[in-house]
Amino acid sequence: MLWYIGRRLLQVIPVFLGATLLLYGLVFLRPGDPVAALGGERGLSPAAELAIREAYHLDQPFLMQYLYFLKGVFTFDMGVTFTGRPVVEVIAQAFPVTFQLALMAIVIETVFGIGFGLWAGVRKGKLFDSTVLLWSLVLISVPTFVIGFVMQAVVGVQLGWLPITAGRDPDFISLLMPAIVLATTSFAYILRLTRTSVVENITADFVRTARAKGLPRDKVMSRHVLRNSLIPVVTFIGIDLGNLMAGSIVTEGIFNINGVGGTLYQAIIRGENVTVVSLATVLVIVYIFANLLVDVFYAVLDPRIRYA
Amino acid sequence: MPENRYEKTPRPGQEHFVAPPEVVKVGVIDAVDTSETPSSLWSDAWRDMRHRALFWVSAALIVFVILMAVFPGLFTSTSPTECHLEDSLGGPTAGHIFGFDKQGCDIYARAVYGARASVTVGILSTLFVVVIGTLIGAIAGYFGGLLDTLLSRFTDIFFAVPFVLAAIVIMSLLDDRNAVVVAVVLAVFGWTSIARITRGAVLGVKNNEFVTAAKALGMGRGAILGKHVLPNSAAPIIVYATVALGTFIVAEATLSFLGIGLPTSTVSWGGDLAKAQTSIRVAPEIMIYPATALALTVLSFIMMGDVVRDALDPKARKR
Amino acid sequence: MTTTITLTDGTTEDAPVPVEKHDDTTPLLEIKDLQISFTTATGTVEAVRGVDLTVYPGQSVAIVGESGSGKSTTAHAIIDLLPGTGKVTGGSISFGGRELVGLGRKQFEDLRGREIGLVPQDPMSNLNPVWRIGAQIDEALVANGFQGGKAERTARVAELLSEAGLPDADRRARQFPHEFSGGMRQRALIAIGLASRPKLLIADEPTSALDVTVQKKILDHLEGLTAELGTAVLFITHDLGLAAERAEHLIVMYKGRVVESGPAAQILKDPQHEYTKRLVSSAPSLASRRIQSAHERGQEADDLLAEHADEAETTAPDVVVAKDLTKVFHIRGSRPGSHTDFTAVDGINFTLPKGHTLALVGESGSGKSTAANMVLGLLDPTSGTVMYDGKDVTKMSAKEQFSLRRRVQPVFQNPYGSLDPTYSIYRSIEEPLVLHKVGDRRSREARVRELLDMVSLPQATMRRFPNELSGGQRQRIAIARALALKPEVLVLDEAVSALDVLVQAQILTLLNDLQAELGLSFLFITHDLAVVRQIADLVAVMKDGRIVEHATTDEVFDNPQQEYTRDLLAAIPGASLEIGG
Repeated sequence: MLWYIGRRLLQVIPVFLGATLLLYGLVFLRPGDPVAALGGERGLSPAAELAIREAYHLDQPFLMQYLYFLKGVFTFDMGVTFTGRPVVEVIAQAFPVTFQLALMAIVIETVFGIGFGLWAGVRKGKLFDSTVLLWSLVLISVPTFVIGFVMQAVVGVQLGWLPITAGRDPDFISLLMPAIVLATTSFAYILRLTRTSVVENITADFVRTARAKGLPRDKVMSRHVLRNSLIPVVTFIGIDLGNLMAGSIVTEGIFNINGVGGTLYQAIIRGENVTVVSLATVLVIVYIFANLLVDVFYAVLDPRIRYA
Repeated sequence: MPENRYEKTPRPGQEHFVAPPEVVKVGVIDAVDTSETPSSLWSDAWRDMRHRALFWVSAALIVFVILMAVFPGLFTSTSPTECHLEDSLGGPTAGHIFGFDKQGCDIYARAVYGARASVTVGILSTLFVVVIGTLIGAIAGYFGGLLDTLLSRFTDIFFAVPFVLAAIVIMSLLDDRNAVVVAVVLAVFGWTSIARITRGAVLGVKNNEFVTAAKALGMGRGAILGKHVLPNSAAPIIVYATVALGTFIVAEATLSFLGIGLPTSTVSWGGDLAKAQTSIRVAPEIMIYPATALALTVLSFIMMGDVVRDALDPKARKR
Repeated sequence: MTTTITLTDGTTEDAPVPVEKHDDTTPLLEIKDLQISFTTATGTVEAVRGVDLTVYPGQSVAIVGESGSGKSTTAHAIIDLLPGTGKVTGGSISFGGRELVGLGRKQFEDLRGREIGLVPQDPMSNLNPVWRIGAQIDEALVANGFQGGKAERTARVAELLSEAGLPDADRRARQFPHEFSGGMRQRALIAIGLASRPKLLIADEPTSALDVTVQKKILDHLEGLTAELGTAVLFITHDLGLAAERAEHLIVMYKGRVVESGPAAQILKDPQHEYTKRLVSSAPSLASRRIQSAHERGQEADDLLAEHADEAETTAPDVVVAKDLTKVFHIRGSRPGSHTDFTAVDGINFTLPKGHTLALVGESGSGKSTAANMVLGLLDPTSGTVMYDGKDVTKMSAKEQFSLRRRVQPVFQNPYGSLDPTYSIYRSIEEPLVLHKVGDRRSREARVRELLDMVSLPQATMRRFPNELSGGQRQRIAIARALALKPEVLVLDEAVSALDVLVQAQILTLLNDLQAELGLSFLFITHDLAVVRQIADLVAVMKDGRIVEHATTDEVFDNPQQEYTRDLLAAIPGASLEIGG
């Protein structure tokens, strides 16, 4: 197990460096001169321009700049936003609510996704199964922001069950609707994946052996069918965290939540490039390390990985 | 001769029994069934799909959407960009069955003309990712060794950046945006799944004995990859590509919704949804039309992918 | 000479036969007129049609049949484990006087494990990979009402494992299935099957996935154990030899029906039904002579056999000579930097005389397939040489190697993997001709037709696709493709191992006819010594990368020199049976 974690940690290093280099390179190569743009119509004085270039190491070659950037990442110094606040401070403030939202979404999508998927898989070919499958396709087809609007209009405005926007310091109830919206697409994917692996596992030889042992049906389902179906689902949740992050930008945006996603949304709308890039980089880093965690969990679930 | 267990008289129910020869006829062993018409893997899949309602529904929708994208004039004679502010939020009238949006543009015409942007981006990005992903995945899987390690790590790096997030970053930096740019940007970070799928499929196929047989015939590695390995790896790629087309359309709409996708001068469902958002409390129904058009388009591709997957599923195949 | 069957290994006295149980006159299991059908998209398929079967307490009974005969379906119906849409549509299954057809789910759950145990077929897929072996036995104890706490259960699990023949059971119980070899997994499955001391054990091809020597050990152990416990055993097997050796009563099934049943001895020595007769005469484990080619048939067999062997040693020139052939694989370890060298083939020497068959025999991991791949030029030897007519393959130019391909061609084991599913049969057979630029379109088509004739398939087959053909037919196509370039040597790598007995016999006969007709030389790679007797002139027995015995087939069978060869011979199912006449 330790070997496995160690090896995964080693593998993360090139991925981390490569991914950040990629993002950083994209920003570097973007058209236009950011410093010249700072001066607006009038332009900066040559001295001021030089000072800024030095302060941001823009006079250095690309690779050096990247190293400075990396140093910044490790020392929690990611530069400042347009309004002059340090990016790290913005993230520190915005992170808790995003974390809470993401956690709620993950719980919703996994609990309901696995539940419905298991039920559909067991009743393969029945009406429930085909209905659920078709609806999952519909949910996948509708973009998150449309689902958000529909929920706002129906559940929020017409029925008045849940608050329409979250605002500052949101509580559990006001985060519930955004969490459901954020979870919808992934819920549909998890449902379909669970169903597929349940259908596959139900006919597996080891399940027949378990039944032949005399195990009651509940035990066969929980200890053999469901337990083994969780393995691909966990892998998926790890990969899907990326979609969750992109989704949180839209969701937090339309629900007016001051999380990382919401801040990013505002920055995109206002065209604050530097903030967008820094925040996105932070998200990618979180994504890489969250996936590391998921991989460890995956190894806990599957002994074949652990001892490989 | 010693008494042993084989020399006992049989007990009731275990007497020697021989089925009358006329009841069980022993035919020619392993005769070729020449009754059915020959069928290849693909024609089998086609036969399977033909009988599914879902296939015809999604096929009809796809044809419909593509027609709308190529010849929008067939569906409406109203211009989507000819807007009169005095019509703002006006209800349905003759010739304008869905009414007008906030800017006073005809909602129906915009829904029709919006198809082009979505379909263009969807098809282009899918084309790009299939080419890049298949190439990288096939080379990594087939040649293996160091090349595989390098290409796989290369894929991992791009995989570590969620493609919508990456697209948001890149698009927010670009000023000159159009459908091709959006498609390229989505493809740059979107090819990794296809590469992984292709690599997996190629790894599975390349150990088959027909590949070894081709090697034993003296066939070159490139020829084997092209003639035997890739055609047999095509099924999962086709299935994934069909579904990916749908997700790319969603991604484009999301970008346009955020205002960093297609420019506002281009008619697109995502852009219209963004505009509709501002009047969601007074006129939520404006959103319904572009949203429905978008969802139906995506649904038709994803449904098609699902049908194709079922038809090509090797587990469901007769042996 | 009288026709009798005797146990030749002298185990008659100490064979653990529970005599007192034999006095039991009420059947334990009685199946009457059983009908089972499956619903498919195209209609109803009747898989089992009117099967009768009786098992007495403590008795061993075997159902013998090929794939698709309905033997497993019958067995699974007893404990309501029919796959998919399978349904019992008629007849009765009575167990210990109680009717099982129509029982509820709960009643079946009580019956399974406690009254009837199952040892399934494939040890690789029948254990859940995510649970420890001990846990999988433990849950069987819990489900079947084992009295005792956790500590007692753990002790019982270890007891069961060591009873099934696994040493060091305490530690083994804490391991996962992927840490077990196939044989060990099968023992764990036997432990599960017998955990709650059922009265009947259904053994569904319990050892067909294992090497013969392991198979024999496990079956011997199972036999001893069930005799001791007084458990009745219902064997399901495709192997007539194994069935006759392990069971006293046989049921032969074909296409969902019982064609013949009765005492094992009687069926073996005096089969009545046409199908049983064919099965008895084709079963490789029971056959004791080489198949004769078409024109040899009718002549005196013994003379020819001797002639063959003599020829092999004296007159025929050697087509292939392998000298000190060695292959070492570098295997990367799980920890960075670590690796081990694995010597798959360790300095072997053999010669293949023209027009003859050399069999390379060995169990899994013996290096026989690696050796074959080196002969085919698909793998470069680490050291040593393969020579064709005195020319070293490794020293050939690329062009010479390409033209060598025309002289040596392979046929592989897996009939489902050996043809490209996207190619029509015509394209598959034509491919070698196109690649080596033989003839024009028309002459190639004529050649494909000729080749289909050669392998006794209708010419119309060429428009079909592999998924429309049976395993045996695909192997014929693979043989036709291999013959397209008129090679001198065929490397047959387990080419008949995956086929049903009758089909296997057919293909062996075809190969033998082709050899006589075309003067082919065969390098026959197999794990199955029984088949060797039917086809080979010379045998090389491999173990751990080395050839331990190399002689003519008759010498190896009649006068084996090595302990290992004797073990292999003894492990052939039915080896202890002797059919006179």
